Amino acid sequence: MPMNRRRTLAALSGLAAAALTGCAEPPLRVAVVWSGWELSRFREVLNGRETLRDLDIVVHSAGDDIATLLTNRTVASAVPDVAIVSQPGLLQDPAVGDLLQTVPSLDPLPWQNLVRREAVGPVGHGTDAPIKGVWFKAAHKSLIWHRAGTVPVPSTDWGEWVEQCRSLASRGKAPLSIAAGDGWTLTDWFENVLLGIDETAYHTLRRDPDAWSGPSVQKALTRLADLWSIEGLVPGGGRRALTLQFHDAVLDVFRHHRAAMVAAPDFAWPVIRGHCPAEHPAPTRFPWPQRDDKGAGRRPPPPVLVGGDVVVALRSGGKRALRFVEWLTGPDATKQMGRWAGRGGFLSVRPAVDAYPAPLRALAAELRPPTNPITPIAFDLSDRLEGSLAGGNGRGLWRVLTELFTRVAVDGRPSDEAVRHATAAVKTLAARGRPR
Amino acid sequence: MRPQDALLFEATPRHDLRAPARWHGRGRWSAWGYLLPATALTTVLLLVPLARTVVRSLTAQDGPANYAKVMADGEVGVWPALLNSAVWLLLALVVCALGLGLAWLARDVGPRPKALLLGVLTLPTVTSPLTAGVAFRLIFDLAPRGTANALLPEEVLFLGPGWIWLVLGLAFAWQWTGLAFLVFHVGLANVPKNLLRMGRVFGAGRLRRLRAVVAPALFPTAALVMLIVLTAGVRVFDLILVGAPGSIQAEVDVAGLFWWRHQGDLGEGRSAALAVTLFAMAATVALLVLWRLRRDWPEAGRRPGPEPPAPRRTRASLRVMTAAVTVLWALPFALLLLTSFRSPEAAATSGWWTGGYGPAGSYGEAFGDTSFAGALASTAQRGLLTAVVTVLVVVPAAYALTHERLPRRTRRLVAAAVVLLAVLPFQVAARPLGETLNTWLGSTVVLSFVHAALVLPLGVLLLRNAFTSVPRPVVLRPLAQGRSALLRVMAECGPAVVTVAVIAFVLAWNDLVVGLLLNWPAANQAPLVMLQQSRQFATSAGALAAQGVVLTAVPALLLLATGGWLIRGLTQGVRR
Repeated sequence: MPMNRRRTLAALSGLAAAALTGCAEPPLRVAVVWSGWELSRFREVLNGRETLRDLDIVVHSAGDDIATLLTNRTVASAVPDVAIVSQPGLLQDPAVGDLLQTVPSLDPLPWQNLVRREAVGPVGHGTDAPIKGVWFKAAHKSLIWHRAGTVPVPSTDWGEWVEQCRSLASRGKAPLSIAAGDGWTLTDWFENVLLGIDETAYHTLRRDPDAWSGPSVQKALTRLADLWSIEGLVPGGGRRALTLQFHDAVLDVFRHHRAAMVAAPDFAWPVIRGHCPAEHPAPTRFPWPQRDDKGAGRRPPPPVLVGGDVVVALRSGGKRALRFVEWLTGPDATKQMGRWAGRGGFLSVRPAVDAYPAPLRALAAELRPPTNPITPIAFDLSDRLEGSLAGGNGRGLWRVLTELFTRVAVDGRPSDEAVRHATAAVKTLAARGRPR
Repeated sequence: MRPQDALLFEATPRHDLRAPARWHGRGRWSAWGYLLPATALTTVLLLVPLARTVVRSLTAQDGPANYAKVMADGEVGVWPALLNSAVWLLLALVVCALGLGLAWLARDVGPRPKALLLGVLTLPTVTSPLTAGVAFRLIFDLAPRGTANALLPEEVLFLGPGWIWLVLGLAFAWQWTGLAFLVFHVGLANVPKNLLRMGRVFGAGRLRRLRAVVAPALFPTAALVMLIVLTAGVRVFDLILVGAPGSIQAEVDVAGLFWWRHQGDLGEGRSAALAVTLFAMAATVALLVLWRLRRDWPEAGRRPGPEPPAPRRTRASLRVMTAAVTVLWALPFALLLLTSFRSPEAAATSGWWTGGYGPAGSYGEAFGDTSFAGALASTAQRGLLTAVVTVLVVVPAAYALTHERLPRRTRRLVAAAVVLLAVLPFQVAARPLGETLNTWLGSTVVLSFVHAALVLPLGVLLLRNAFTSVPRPVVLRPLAQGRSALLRVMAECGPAVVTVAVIAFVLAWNDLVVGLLLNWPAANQAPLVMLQQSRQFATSAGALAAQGVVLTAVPALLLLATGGWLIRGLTQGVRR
């Protein structure tokens, strides 16, 4: 009976494979957004742990597609036990938020408020909503890095700075390198500009779809379009910028000396350190309008756009996931965090971590608003958006801004036309929400 | 067996077609018994999920209006992705033509250059699309790093809008031309030379000879090649994911990728409708191509016996061509290898010609943590299991379709189903499958069965071609004694069976989509680990190259070890 023999064989091979895969407790699956150098640093943090050694941990990097992967609509069970995400907006997404455990947090209050699971409904903004994540890493996103000797000192006043760029460009020297290939760098531009114009509007955008039609959004988009349409702004033209990733743009300035400045978060530091050891960069502030436009003459403080990576424990991870989160964000891990912080590209909201390289030392303090703990901090908006506006390659606000950039810097369209397109697109996306 | 009984993929039997009219199988039930494992596997893992997706696209959300709505959705914009998918299908046909052209040009080269050509052209076929994407991105990268840009007077933005199509298209052509070349070059050798000579004597024009003699001889294998390459065209996914920078991805999006990214925006019904549309598109093209071929040449005619090879001296122009093709096709591998031996910093900031080599290169970084090594082991395990399952299921099924008695209508139905399933994009089955299997998907065994189900249609087509050409006497005796001829047939078609096993292993080894959709993040699938490195391409180029080299080495060695068998398995299938 050949069939029987065959079936037996099939069954046996199945059994053998099952035995090979083992029946021991599976390792704790941790999904992160980092890759490359940062991923290695994170693994160092884990490998250096003195407590929690009994836990077997696998780290998977999901990159910019982590949102798509976490809201795995294909297989509900194929989600990690713990995830470290840079988009707190995901926590509000029912597809993810419902999977999360409530975690104990020692973060500063405004940071805690970023990761509260808000009640369903239009307002629901209580400070007693459950906390779903703990901040592991923070980032300072309102920075301009420049190469010594190219610009005396980049101006911190928007108007003057644009003039600086224009004059450099007219002399045939590219003032900026823009990593338009990575959507998030463009949204950082937009957020910094908007924050400088109208902080209140910035904070309402997330909850109120109508706010996208407001004049401040329009103004911010116009500023960007005007800047990006400067002839010779970026080395090789806008088309080249579209193929640049974040690291490429940093290398353009500090390694290949093709541009003078790059707007990049604090985590550009290790890239510069690792690939351009001869450089001694010190970041300056992202330029903002330093006089109140309404004529009050008050000097508004510089915008501090922050980002960060938050650790969440998924229900599937059970108690083990909670233990891991508590360890990673608790005092036991401070030493390991300090090691990463010392090599740069890692800021923490915890004062206990303080081994930063000199040029970054002042930045960490800015991430902890000192006076009024209720004042919301300006967290990266695109990372907090939900539904159709949420980021990711080829979608949401990322796509709108990439298209704006393409229109003015590649196709050479007039900026008012490009802004009209962008405003319309962003309105549609905001109104659309999430289909049920 | 009458000609109209012939299946779509009828390979030309080498023997008398007339008597006896049918094989004396052991009756209908035993045929069904042989078909059972394949039917069960396909039904559970592909057909039922497919049906559920179709039902969902018609009932969930807006009902049948889902189709109209997903097309009309201006903001999410599915049209460019669908058009791009159509472009890939066309490209698949172009690649087949290219393979045929190369085979035609190379028909007169000597045995050694031919072996070289075969090796260098088919190696990319077993390379993962992810590795191909990395290699071509290395070639066409920006000025200080990219090889192409170093040769040009001014910087060309190959990875930018527009040009990116060239990069991706070349990568695809590089991958698949070899397969077409391999199959066509054997097909062309089988063209009856006497008939050609006769045609020439009687004044038949070049075109006429092509139509009447060359094309019919090529048909049986051409159909299979087209199907394989079309399938690859439909399933393009990872090549784009790694080959195009983030901002460009929207421009080169394909329906399969779009579906993955926008499931949440589209909602259940519309995303199901999109998946079904993609499948319908692929199925239409596949059936159209095969139907055209079949209508033009319903009877393939008898294959001639082996002719004495005409001793030829390789002409100089041919040598130049061989050398050029070899260099072009080996270039991506060479760059990958060179880059892998450079330090990560050097790979990030300069081209390969500037130095920066070290003994460990970027391998230290690639294996810096244990995840890649671990993934390699579990990927190999999955590949092996897939190969075993596929062979165990495909062999009896192919046997049932050739040497057992089945009603004509059933066989036609099965044939049509097999062709359709062969081009099935996995997205159309993924979601219902995920819901049904859910937690089971963590296990290697279950995933291997999913892989096996996906390779199964192709395997059946391939083995059927081989089984039909088994000499009759081999089969007749056991059948006359009322025994099964399965083992005899299998022994005769050793190369074809090995080929199916190798294809199954390689597809499971290179897989990204199944792992990504069904098993992330437990997927310790090597290409998945590699994809994770690619977030910042420049600074990871060294490590990516190193991982690509390792990932390619395994199928390459397999190809070297089984090369001769593969050629026979893909083209004739019968032990000589």
